[in-house]
Amino acid sequence: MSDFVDLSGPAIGRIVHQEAMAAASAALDAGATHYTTRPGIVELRGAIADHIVRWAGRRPDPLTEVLVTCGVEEAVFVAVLTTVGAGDRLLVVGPSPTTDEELAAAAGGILDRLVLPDVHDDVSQWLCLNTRPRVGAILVRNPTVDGSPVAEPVMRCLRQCAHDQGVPLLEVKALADFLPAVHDSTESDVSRAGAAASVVIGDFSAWNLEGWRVGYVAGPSSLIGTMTDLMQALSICAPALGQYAALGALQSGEVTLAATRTVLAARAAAFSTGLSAYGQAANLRVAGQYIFLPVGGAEADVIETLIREAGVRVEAGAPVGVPGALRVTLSEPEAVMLGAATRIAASLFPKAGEGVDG
Amino acid sequence: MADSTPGTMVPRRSFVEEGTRQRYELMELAGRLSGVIALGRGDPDLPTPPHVVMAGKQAIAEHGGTVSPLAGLPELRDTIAEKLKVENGIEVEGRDGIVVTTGGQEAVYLAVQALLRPGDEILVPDPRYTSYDVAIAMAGARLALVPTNREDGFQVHASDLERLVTPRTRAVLLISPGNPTAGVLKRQNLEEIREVVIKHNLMVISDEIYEKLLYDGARHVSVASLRGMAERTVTVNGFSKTYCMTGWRLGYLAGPVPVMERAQALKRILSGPPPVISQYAGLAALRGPTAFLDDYLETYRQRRKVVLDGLDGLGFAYGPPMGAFYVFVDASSIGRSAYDLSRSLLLDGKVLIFPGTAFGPRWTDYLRMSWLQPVSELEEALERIRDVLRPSA
Ligand SMILES: Cc1ncc(COP(=O)(O)O)c(C=O)c1O
Repeated sequence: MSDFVDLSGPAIGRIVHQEAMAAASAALDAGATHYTTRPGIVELRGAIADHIVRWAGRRPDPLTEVLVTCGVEEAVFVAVLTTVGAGDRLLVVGPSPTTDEELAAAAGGILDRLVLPDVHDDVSQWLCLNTRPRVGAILVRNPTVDGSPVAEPVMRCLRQCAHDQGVPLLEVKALADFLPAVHDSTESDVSRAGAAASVVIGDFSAWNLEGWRVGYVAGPSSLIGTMTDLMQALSICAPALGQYAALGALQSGEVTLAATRTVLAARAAAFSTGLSAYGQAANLRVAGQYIFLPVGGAEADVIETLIREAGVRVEAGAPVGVPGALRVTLSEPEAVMLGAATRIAASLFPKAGEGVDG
Repeated sequence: MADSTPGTMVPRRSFVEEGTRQRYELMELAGRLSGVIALGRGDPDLPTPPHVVMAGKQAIAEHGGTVSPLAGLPELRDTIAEKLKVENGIEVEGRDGIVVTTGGQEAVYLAVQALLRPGDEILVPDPRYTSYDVAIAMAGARLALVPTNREDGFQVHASDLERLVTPRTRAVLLISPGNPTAGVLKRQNLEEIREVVIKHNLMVISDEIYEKLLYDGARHVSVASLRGMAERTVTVNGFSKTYCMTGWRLGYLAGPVPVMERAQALKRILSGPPPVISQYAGLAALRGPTAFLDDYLETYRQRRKVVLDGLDGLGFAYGPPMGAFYVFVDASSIGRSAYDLSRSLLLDGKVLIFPGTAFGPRWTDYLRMSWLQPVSELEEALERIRDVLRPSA
């Protein structure tokens, strides 16, 4: 099929922030081809500290409380291996990738998944860590893997529990930069619940720097120091050019992020339009550079069918924590997203095509 | 967590031994002092070759918004497979036998996790690059140290392996040219090691990251090229040392497909795909001109001579450095512990040299010195060392 569309990749596609590219290019000219200091270049750690105030409620000390990693994966990996000991539980809150099993196992720990409470639940009663012995760390992705922000009362409860139990709360913010900046934890919130338990993990995928492999983890110095030691044995330091690209990205401010959001929103809207004639648009969930389309099971077969009949390649949602859905990357311009959605819908929902809208 | 008070986070593990901790301390201290001549970290001062830098620049322009597949760019994996075949005599199943990694360091970590199960033992020559220790500990395996000594250039002997093999032994780790020893394993020794490995049904992890940095006619032999060893060996290599590409974080592991598959599964949660720009640069490194390497080696040869002459003048003994860019110096004649001596060389002489104990607690009499500085700096460093060690000092 000549107009085959691959929407299965991890990259945003065709959004390249020149500030980041220019920063990397200049760094290369300046000879930044050596190992950096183990925790990452100081300027980047400072810029990360500034950036995450919005979530951490306070500015971490760049020198002792921030570690630059090889992508969000390594950030999560070092955080979990540092905080979850042999036989400990890794308590994962909310939908989570299947690989979390391997993550807990790599730490010699046990994965314990906890479903997020319904918004109407009495959240204060919800998480009682006392009944769950030997929790090494609580891991929460906020926004969740399918893009929903975790309700603030839930976060507050998690922070309070983490603080009371002396258990680190690992909060993965990888999708947060795709959303307009919100200060989702206020200074008073965090100090009340204990900033000492809070570990913030993120990356630069919203600047489309996924391929450069730079992420970060920020938290109490006692943990960050140990994570730095582990990282030495994993990758020594993050790629130097990637670190400079990330610095360029952060220095370019909110403007470039806003540009990304605008482009992705337009692509998502186009995709949604393609599905609306088939009554499926309402089911879509946008999460960062992805959009999830529920198909109700047998995803592997559906994916095969789409390759054959629609000329579109997508991924299954289950491995990343969204079972029963297809994961579509918003990597193509609007016209292509619209065309792909129309073909997907025609292939999957033929009977619904008779004028029913969702 | 029983031992924590609210608000204080206590790590559940520690990843460094005393010697490594001291190495970090010295590095940090050196960073705070001015005018230090650093002969510590194995980070070449020479530049990444210009054609590789050019490829990197072009990749930033053309591929800055892309992400690599988990195991690396297919064309890079193909090129590495071809390189191993032509240069090293190693046969792998094309790109399926290669996983590109975020530095050789990650390749080591993945190789260890892919081969060892909890309770396994792995034989590791001592002294050693202690990042191995962390990888082995995280696999739940046990390190069994194989003694080596400077008198014979830190060779590994099959008879020692034979003596140390137990029913739990699963693998042998070899590194040639060595860090910190700079020893190069001789073909004859490797052939004998091969027999022990096959007899006891072991696997080998062969760290060959310094393969091209050789002196005085030393020859590099890849373990996986020996008869019957391709299916028993995971070869670890990278671009940091040969191409002066430490900051690019690019390496690879090569070996049997099932091992590569296990390594990939872990890589997915460990660091995801390797950095994409670095891979295009790496492709240029492997495919491009090699004349720069002759120049770099000539530079290293001159520096090596300056350093060894200087050490001779100071009356130090050392194992002859046949490869890499280090010399592992026996400083027992000074009569001070390695750490104490390194600290004093740093504080009093502004020369950063790592204590032998950073490479295993037994090496209290040794120092590891690199020659990753211009000759003038090396001469100055040796002068400063002489001053610090002068009896009146
Ligand atoms: C023996 C050995 N193996 C592996 C590495 C890893 O190097 P890199 O991750 O920079 O490729 C080093 C670096 O010093 C080393 O000395």
